[in-house]
Amino acid sequence: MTDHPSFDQLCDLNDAALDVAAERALRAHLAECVSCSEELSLLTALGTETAALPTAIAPPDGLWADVRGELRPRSTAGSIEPVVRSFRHLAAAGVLIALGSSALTVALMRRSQAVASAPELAADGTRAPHHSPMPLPASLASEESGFTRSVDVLQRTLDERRDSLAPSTIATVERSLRVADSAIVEARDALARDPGNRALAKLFASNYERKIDLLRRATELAPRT
Amino acid sequence: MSTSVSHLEPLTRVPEPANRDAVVILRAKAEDVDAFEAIYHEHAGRVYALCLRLTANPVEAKELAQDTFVRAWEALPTFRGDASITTWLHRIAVNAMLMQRRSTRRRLSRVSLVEDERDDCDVVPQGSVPPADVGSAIDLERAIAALPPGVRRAFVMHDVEGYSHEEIAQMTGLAAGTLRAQLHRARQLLIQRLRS
Repeated sequence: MTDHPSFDQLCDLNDAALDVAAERALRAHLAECVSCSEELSLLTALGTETAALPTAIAPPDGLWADVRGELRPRSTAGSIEPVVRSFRHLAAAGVLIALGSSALTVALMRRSQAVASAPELAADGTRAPHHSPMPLPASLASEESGFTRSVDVLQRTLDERRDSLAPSTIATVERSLRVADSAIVEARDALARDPGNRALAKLFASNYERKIDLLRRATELAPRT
Repeated sequence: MSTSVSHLEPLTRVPEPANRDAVVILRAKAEDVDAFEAIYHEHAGRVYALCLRLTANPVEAKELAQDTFVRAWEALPTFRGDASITTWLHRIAVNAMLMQRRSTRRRLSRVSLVEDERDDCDVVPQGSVPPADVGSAIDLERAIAALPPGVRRAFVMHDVEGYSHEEIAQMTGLAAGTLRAQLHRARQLLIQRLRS
């Protein structure tokens, strides 16, 4: 290369965006041209300085307060029809959790052969909660503590809005939650017996997620007071 | 209302960091504002730095950062964890900035037919205030802030934030050639300013 390279070409060299032949020719020129080498050095130095820029800058005071003031509940009370639909979905979701989770838990337990038999079903199709749960391994216990915190937050919200719900709705919600709880307890017990069973661990987490979803949807049924 | 799992033995172990983040995000998804505040405090500095560099104006940067976190709150249920939450927040900030910019351009086009896209000219935008609290890198920060808007955006997104050409083109709708020209122009201007 006899002509001086353009700034674009130097940038492309710096970005490793040149093909092999072009890069070889450009480097040959740079080896003999002081001014172009200096230009490339400046470009490289700019890259180094840029990389050293702080990744964080303290935001102005009051930004969180402004953000907080703009946060609205994602769940807004809609028209009657969507609420009715949600209500039906809520009840249906509870039943699905009971049927799906129980069958799956039993299947997974059989597969692992870690447990001889599943707990017996109560008359209403749910399982009676155990009074002495078995301890979980540390990683699962920490995961459960996160879930229970979310449950507690949503449960408090729902309790606060409870008066705005019809008694029949409350009954359905409570029934669905009992079903969700029994599915959690069932998966939890199975997991405590067979902590290495990843499928059971997934089921355990998904049962909690479903309960959280149930609670979230139940809070959507209850308008804010 | 009873919760029959509440009788389970208390779990006092502290979650591991990755788990803790996931749990905080999950709680924020469930409209736990305290959890969202924790996400805010973890990421506000980085988001604000991006906003300040993109806008070169502290007032606009504050508004953009605020807009970013409000949008994040609203969109959090859709966050699936495919990317890190940092990446996700930064994309929201960039998209919010681009939307504000398009909105401003539309508003201006109603009152003037004059082309106001001055990206390729060397004009410092009115009202630009160099950031004042960026420590030892203040010269470079000031030089970046003084860049014309389009080339500054290209430089910040590519050289500072590390987005690829393809990602920037996808987000901004710019042609690859335009983006490359803006990026090189930004570097050239910065070198000139830092040298002088």
